[in-house]
Parts: sequence; C-alpha cells; structure tokens
Amino acid sequence: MSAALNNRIRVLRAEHQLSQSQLAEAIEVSRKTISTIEVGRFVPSTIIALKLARFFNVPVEQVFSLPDGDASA
Amino acid sequence: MSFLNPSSRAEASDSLALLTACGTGLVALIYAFKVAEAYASSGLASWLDIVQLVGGVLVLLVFLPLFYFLKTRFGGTTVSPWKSDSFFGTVLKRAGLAAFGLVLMSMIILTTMDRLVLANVTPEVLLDALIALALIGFSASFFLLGRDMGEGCDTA
Repeated sequence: MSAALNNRIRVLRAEHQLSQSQLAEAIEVSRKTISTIEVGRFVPSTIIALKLARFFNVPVEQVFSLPDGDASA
Repeated sequence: MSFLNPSSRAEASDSLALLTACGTGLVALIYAFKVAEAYASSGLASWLDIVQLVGGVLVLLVFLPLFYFLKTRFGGTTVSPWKSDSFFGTVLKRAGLAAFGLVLMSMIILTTMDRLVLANVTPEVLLDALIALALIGFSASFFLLGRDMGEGCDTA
C-alpha cells in the first residue's frame, strides 16, 4: 500500500530481543500493523513512526529511510 | 491474536475492522438476494425471502452484539477502527473509498444506458442493487487490500 519506505524495524527488534507482539504492545498498535510495516507493505503514519523511533531511542531516520534514488520526496 | 478475545485496544480495533467487513459482506448478500427475488420465480422467491430473514437475524443477534462487545470491552472511550491509523484502519478507509468510486462509476454508466436498463428496472430494485454493489465493493476491497501475504514470524 502506498509508496515504498525502507525500515530497520526487524534489526532493531532483534537488537532489543523483542517479538512483533511485544513491540506492538509497547507502542499501542496491533501486531498486524507492525508486521506489515516491517515487510514494507504498509507505510505508517507520522505518529506511529515517531512512536517507534522514541521506543528504540533513535532518530526516526535510523528507523525509516527513502529507497536509494527516490527523488519524489 | 484471538479475534474475539483481543489483548489490547489496538487488537480490538483490528477485530472490529474485520467484523465490520464481514458484517457488511453479509448485509450485501441480503441486498443481493433482495434484488434476485425481484426476478425469481415465486417458489425461489419464497426461499430467497427466508435466506434474507436468516441473514437479518444473524446480523441482529450475532454481529451487532459482538460489535458492541468489542467496542466497549476496554472501557473508557469506545474503540473505533475508523479513527485508528493502524494497518486495518487504513485498509477500512481505502475500502470505503473504493466502494464509493465503484458506485459512482456504476451510476455514471447507468445514466448513459437509461433506455437499456433504467426503463426496465423499478427504482426499488435499482436502489437495492446499488446498495448491494456498494456493500460488496466495500467488503471485497477490504479483504483484497488486507489479505495475508506472509508478514514474517512473530519472533524476537
């Protein structure tokens, strides 16, 4: 759904040893939402993106990035 | 996630979105049977009448109580998938948009075929058909856009 967006959620989850369900519970979204963001099928809202960044204590750019060569932004 | 026993408000919102799409699909079938009844023989029409009645009872006795249960399960403000920016919340809004587009296109096409179609159909049947189309469009779009495509495993 919508434009492509790279993300490092799977890596960050692994670093924090969290399951999708645990991460979903921590930022108050459903597991389906996390799993679809993770595989790049769903581009999250700004609020969810900021919640993820805050939870992992990193800037949002370290969680999400535009694909290389994407000049549409 | 257990569909009927969500562990959080977010999971309840997803369950409500699924229930909304299923319920809408069922109501769409009821309207479709109502349209079919207008063109069926009297024997078949009486069967279609019974099917509609069963569908209506199912919506009233199963879907609406379940909907209310999920909406109020976590107390405080009620859960609403329409206000959620979750995956299913977004799919629900897109399905609504798709259904609107489908009905609008159908109405435009119908206006250009007024002699072929509109002259031979009663307003009641036409309205029922458009409602059925809108509801089927919504339900089908929801399941198409939200279908499971393998979103990885839930491990750390």
